[in-house]
This record gives sequence, structure tokens and C-alpha cells, in this order.
Amino acid sequence: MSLTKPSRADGPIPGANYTSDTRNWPWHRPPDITSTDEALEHVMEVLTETDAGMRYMSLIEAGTPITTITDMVVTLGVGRGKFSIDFAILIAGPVTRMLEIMAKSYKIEYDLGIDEDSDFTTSVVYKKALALNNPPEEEPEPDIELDVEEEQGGFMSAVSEEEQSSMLGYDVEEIEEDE
Amino acid sequence: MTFEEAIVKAVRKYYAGKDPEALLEASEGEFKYTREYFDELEEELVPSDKKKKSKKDDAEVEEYELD
Repeated sequence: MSLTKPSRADGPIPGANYTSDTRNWPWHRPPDITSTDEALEHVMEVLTETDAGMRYMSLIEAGTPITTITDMVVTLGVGRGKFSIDFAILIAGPVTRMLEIMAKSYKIEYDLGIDEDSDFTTSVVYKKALALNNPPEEEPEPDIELDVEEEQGGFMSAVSEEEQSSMLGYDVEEIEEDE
Repeated sequence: MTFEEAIVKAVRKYYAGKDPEALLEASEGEFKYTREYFDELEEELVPSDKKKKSKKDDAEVEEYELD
């Protein structure tokens, strides 16, 4: 099957998710482990007796925080139905400690990933805010006398009164004559 | 709060020395994998410099005493 033209017949039909039996997922069944020690033993087995441990060490060496690896480890346990989500949070601390000890034993530099970001405003922000509130006083611009040309009437501009009266036939001279 | 954030918070509390009290109260027996267990495991796998130095000092003292 080509990647550019996937076969439509292989995919689920629209609405298939509403018909599947979700109770069949491992995390929908009661968990296998309900004791902290058992859960930690299970995680220890996974870390030391499978390749997963070395994979995690490689990730830690590459700069991944240990808390992220812990998240992966416990989520995997939840996905396999080993323990519940609440239980995963309870054992997160000891699992991180386990991974830390492993990293130390392999002489790997690690980042725990629990450092909190600084929650105070830096002086740079204050300086910017002050600068915004108190803008520097602008020097008054020198008065420049501009030679403004008198407006000259354009094609559509209003005509003068004299011109208007002459156009209407009220010539001043005629008025005077009548008198 | 997301699951990732909950994990980070739980780890932060564990490293701050805070234990899940409700879990400790609910459990009948004692826990095997305690902080002390992990500290001992760490000492076993990654002996600290202090211990190395003290061992070295002890060896020197023994040598001196033997002389």
C-alpha cells in the first residue's frame, strides 16, 4: 500500500469508535497491582531487566528531564493495566529517585526537571514600565512661518459675489441708474 | 492540571520530603522502598566522595598503625 494513496478499506468506518467495546482496554479493568512496593518492584524489573532502562538512560543523557521519563514509565504501567492513574502519581517520586540513582551509577549528567521558574519581576520589566509611564519630554518645535499661498479658486470653487450678481443680471451700475 | 504537571508536582513534593500521609495511614504494613532504602542503594551503587575519603583515611591510619 502506498503512503500517498492509502487504501480506504483498511481504515475504521466513521462511527466505529461508538461501536467498539471500550471495556476491553487494560486500563478499564481493575489494576493488577495495588501495593506501592509491588508497583515499585515491577518498575525496577522493567528498568533493570529489559532494554527499556538503557533506552531511558540514553534519553536522560540527551537532556530529557527525569520527570518526563517518569511520566513515560508510569503511563506505560497505566496503559498496560498494571496500576491506576492515581497510583501512578503516588509512585512518581520513588520512580524518579530510582532513575536518578541509575543515572548516577552510569555517570550520566541529568536534569530532574523539578526546578520552578522564577516568579519575580526582573528590573528590566520595571524599567520598561517606568519608561512607558514617563515618556521623555519632547522639545517644542520651533515656529516655522510657512508661506501659505492664497487659495485660488478652482474650476468648481464658489465665485465671488460680484461675479455672481453679474451672472444673475444685477449689475451695480444698472441699479444705480434705476434710482 | 495535566497529568504531566501532576507528576512533576508529586516528584517535587517527594524531593521536599513530603509523603502521601493518607496512603501511609491506609497501608497496614511498613514500606520496603523508603527514602532510607534508596539512600542506601545510592551509597552502594554510587559511593559518595566523603565515604571514599574516609575509607582512604582509614586505610592510611591502618597502614600507619601497622608500621
